[in-house]
Amino acid sequence: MLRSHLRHLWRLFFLQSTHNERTFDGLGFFHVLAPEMRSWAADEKEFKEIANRHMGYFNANPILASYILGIVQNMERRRAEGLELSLDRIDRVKSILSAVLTAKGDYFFEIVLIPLGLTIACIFAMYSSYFGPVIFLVLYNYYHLQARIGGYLMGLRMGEGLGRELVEHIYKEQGVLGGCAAFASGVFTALVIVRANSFGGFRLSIWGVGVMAAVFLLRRRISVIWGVVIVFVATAIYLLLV
Amino acid sequence: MNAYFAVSLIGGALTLEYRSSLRFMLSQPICSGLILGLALGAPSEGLFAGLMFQVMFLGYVHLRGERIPDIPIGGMASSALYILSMRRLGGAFGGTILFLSLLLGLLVSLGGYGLYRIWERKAWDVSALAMRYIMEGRFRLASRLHMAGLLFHFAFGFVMLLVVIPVGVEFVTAVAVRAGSEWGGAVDSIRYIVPFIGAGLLVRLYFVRDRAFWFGAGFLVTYVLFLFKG
Repeated sequence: MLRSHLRHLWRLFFLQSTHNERTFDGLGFFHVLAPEMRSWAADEKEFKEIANRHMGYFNANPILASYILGIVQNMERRRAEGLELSLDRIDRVKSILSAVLTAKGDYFFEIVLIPLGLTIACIFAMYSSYFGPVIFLVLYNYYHLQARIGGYLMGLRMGEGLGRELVEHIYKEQGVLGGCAAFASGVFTALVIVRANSFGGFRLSIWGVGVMAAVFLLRRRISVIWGVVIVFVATAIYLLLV
Repeated sequence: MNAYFAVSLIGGALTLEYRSSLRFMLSQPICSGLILGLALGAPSEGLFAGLMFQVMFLGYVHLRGERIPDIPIGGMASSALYILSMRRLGGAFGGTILFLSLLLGLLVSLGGYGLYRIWERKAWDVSALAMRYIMEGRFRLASRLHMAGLLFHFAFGFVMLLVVIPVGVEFVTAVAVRAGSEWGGAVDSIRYIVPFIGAGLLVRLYFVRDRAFWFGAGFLVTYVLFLFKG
């Protein structure tokens, strides 16, 4: 049993190896299911048909994709065992869950968890403490591995029945964590101003606030990397001239 | 082991971690800086350089469909350049070295960003070939092709750092020696200004997301605390 799970589990971590602009992670999706795919097909023709269905377009949050893979695998297994499950139903569950879990996962990981962890890490690191990166890695990977491994196994065990429950209950703590992330960001901003003020006085901290305002406004117009480059170079020029 | 080679190996491994879906977040600049620092025997400098690069992108959120700036490779380049240049100049001209390392790190980020735009278009050809193999029943070959994508990611990080770091260290140290004493005092304060960039992105993130109350609470509590502390 464990060996069978491991055959799929390690592949989950390489879902995006051939991420591309047309099918996104379609090939990765196929690659995860592949070890068991032959056992779902009665003959070579059916195998090709199943393979064709699962190597097409797939675009989901790579962490929560584990749930979808577990659920789809469960449905395909049950279908192979003779249960009445239309192909259309499997495809529909796959596409609906992809859309919903991507929205949930992107919000939770990208907007709440990663900024929270990184802000805490930076606050510690500003005072030369090594705990910051450790706290970030532990916090992030607790949720990450739980979703990756636990999510896959849960999907495999519960099948499509998990879908509705999952969408309703996953990451209920995101409101609290989001508040914590905003609070930590406020702490970080205050510390940055206090440190600039104590090093370079009022003038340096005012320039810093100007930098903040410039980044805030530039982000509306141009991509983040160009915004950062422009502000960074402008700051250097200012420091050299003044 | 040669320091440049060690940096490149770590760079390749962490690029693979970031670009595949391993996503343990070791490639975030604050972590990769510390890892490079540990490997090069200067953990505190690594943490500091990683922190400086990280704070520039602190409130950056990757939106689906948006082109992703290559923050990890830029962070690694920046940290390695800072550590190795500081070592070569015996810790002198710290501010100038930090400024130049961050600037070069940003340029490396832009390079990675451009290169991956091309790769994501070309990766479709690899996927299409793998799909053809699957339809022909050559299943193992298709799987290998899928996993071969990892080699590209590793090679990208490895080669990029192997090229940039030796040249970059020469450049940074040469400029620091020439202009360091002139720029010194002014550029030293860059370490206090750079975090404002991240703070600006954070403000934007949380003011848009209706979390202004908690942001303000965190800000006021800390500020008032420092005010009373003096």
